[in-house]
Amino acid sequence: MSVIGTLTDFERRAGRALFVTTFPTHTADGKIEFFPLSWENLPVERYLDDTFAALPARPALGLRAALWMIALSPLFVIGRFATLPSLDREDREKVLVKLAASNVYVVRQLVLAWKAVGGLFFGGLPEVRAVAQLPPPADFGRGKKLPIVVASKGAADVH
Amino acid sequence: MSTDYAPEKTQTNLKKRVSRFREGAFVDGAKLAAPFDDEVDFVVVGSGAAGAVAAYRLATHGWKVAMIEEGPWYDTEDFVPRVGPSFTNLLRDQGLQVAEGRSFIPLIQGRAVGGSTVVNSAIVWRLPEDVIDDWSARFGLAPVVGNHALDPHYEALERELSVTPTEREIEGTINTLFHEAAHALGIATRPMDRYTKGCQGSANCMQGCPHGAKQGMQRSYVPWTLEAGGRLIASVAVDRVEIRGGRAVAIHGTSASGAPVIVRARRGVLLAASTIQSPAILRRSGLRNVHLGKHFQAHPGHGVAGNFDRPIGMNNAATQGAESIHFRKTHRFKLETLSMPPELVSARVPGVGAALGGRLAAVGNLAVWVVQVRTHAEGEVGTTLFGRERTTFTPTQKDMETTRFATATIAKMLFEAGAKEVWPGVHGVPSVLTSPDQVKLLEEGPTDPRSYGFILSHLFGAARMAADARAGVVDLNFQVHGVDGLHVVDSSVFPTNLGVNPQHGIMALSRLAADRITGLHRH
Ligand SMILES: Cc1cc2nc3c(=O)[nH]c(=O)nc-3n(C[C@H](O)[C@H](O)[C@H](O)COP(=O)(O)OP(=O)(O)OC[C@H]3O[C@@H](n4cnc5c(N)ncnc54)[C@H](O)[C@@H]3O)c2cc1C
Ligand code: SF4
Repeated sequence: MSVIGTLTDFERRAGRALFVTTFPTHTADGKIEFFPLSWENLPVERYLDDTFAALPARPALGLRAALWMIALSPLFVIGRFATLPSLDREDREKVLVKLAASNVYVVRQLVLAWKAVGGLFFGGLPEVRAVAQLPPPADFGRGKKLPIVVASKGAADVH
Repeated sequence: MSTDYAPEKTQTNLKKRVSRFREGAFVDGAKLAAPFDDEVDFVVVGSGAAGAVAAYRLATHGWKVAMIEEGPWYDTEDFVPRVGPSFTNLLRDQGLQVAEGRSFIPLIQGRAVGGSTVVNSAIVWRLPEDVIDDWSARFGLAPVVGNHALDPHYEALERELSVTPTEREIEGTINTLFHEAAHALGIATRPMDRYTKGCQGSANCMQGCPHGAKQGMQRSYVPWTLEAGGRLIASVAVDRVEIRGGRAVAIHGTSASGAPVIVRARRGVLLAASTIQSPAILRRSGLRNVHLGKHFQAHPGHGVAGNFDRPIGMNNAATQGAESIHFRKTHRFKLETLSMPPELVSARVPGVGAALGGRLAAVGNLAVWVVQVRTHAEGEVGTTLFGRERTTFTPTQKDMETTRFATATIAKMLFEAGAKEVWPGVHGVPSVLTSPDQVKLLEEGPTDPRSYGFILSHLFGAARMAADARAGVVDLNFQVHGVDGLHVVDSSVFPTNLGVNPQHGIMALSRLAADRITGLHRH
């Protein structure tokens, strides 16, 4: 693994905080469940390590810089002298929402880049695929016929 | 409950796949332990749309051909549903390449045997007549592309790659609604023609077709070239072409295992490494031409999502199945459907936190429709200090006005189709539109490229063809002006972009190029 590809413990914690906050599995009060999942059981750190180990140097450097900027941003965004992983869920979400809506292109790109990295992890989980009416990864392909969802209105006449 | 994220296997079938060819037909650069030296008639660099077709055509003309491909050979049994590992295996820089300019625009290219055809949607379009007329008038290309010269090549490709219209059974709601909404607004549409045989509508084209239905180069012209006597040297990146006495004589490359590779060319070298990499190889080979790397063009794409109050199941349909060129001539854009896997669509869903979670929980109700803009902008393909490709591209103000209009048009169509919300993905406009009245916010919206979520996958120019050596990099025989036996046969030679999907035009031109190049040599 290259030096660029080896994350520190702090970076792993910041990455986990980012994922958990960006893609919550339920509302803060726990009343609504979005996905039958718990982040606690998910191997985020291993995913981050594997991802960074395989990344070319330039994007790896860019993503790590973005991670540090987000992790250290609470002071500038909500006036709290704290790092992102040390905040509670509500404050973490406040920070990310503000960064994502920033009028400064580069700032909102920081969050978007990490949302994309997190999406690659979260969107591929069997529970999330199930919501998208997709079979789990293990059942994929090899000549399996998938269910076809057909629109209610006939479309034969529109071609 | 998930505790793992990548139960994936890769290259499960490589040994079996290559065992059907004669010994030595396939060389795996990942396993080369010593320097590799070879000699053939023609070396073809790249095994994507342009390279595979040209190599096969040369092989069937009786030449000894070697294809050199930087990426490894994956096919049907190797493809996995997860986007992350797929992109790691199949895309250049894992899909993280960008074009720099006023904004950073992701630039997606395949890097595998079969090139971008492994991950593309297999949509088929012949070169439009107005493009042929323009190339003939402005660049003197009539002797190459005029007079329906490409017709026999299209016909052969369409037959050999089973071009089929998207059938009703695999259309799925996302495509049906596109047709219905467009027709209600007076916009003409059509089911896409695609290179498929038995497509099951699994919306998986971007990760590689797991059903062997999509006729990518890795399962068509590449193996056919080997059957016709050619050789494939995979996992070897070509560094430069050796030019001696004004003639291309060999390629020098490096295998994935680090071994030096030289393949000598008795007749010539064909570069088909794509619009980004072919110009870079020319530059590393010492070629100087004022047009080299210039005039880079593209079709930036931007997606708009519609959130319905019922399941759309966009992942149970052809990855792309419906399209409209209604606005191509008048406004320079094309509309398409695009079924995105949850991994990719999650970055497109507005918000973070609970707002995002709630919306993502209804991901099955989404439809994404996209615009491809035939931009006027010309960018540049250069190299960094370290010799890596560097692409710059910024859409013009006019291009952005087109994008804005097209985005508003898609929003109108999605509301017409019954979407309860439209997510335009435009910074400066509400991220969630809830009524057709709000479409005017888009019509009056920003024209800053940084406000849109562009992606580039259709690439042109940077080594353009022109009859006059002062106007381009290659001549009408696809030969670099001033260098015998050095040819460029991919879309680097296209003098302009098209306004339609390029693969068919690229393949027809490279097939024709192989014939013209054969004509320059005698057996
Ligand atoms: C996601 C996606 C979807 C698309 N969908 C469609 C579609 O539906 N219809 C359509 O018409 N077009 C589509 N396109 C575009 C189309 O696939 C490309 O225009 C076409 O494949 C380009 O052909 P090419 O041969 O120039 O390059 P590629 O097909 O990209 O092949 C170039 C090959 O050269 C290799 N190479 C590069 N540098 C070197 C080197 N130094 N040494 C050795 N090998 C090298 C690369 O690894 C690659 O395999 C899509 C593209 C993408 C990325
Ligand atoms: S939609 Fe699915 S079955 Fe059809 S070509 Fe694409 S990946 Fe293959």
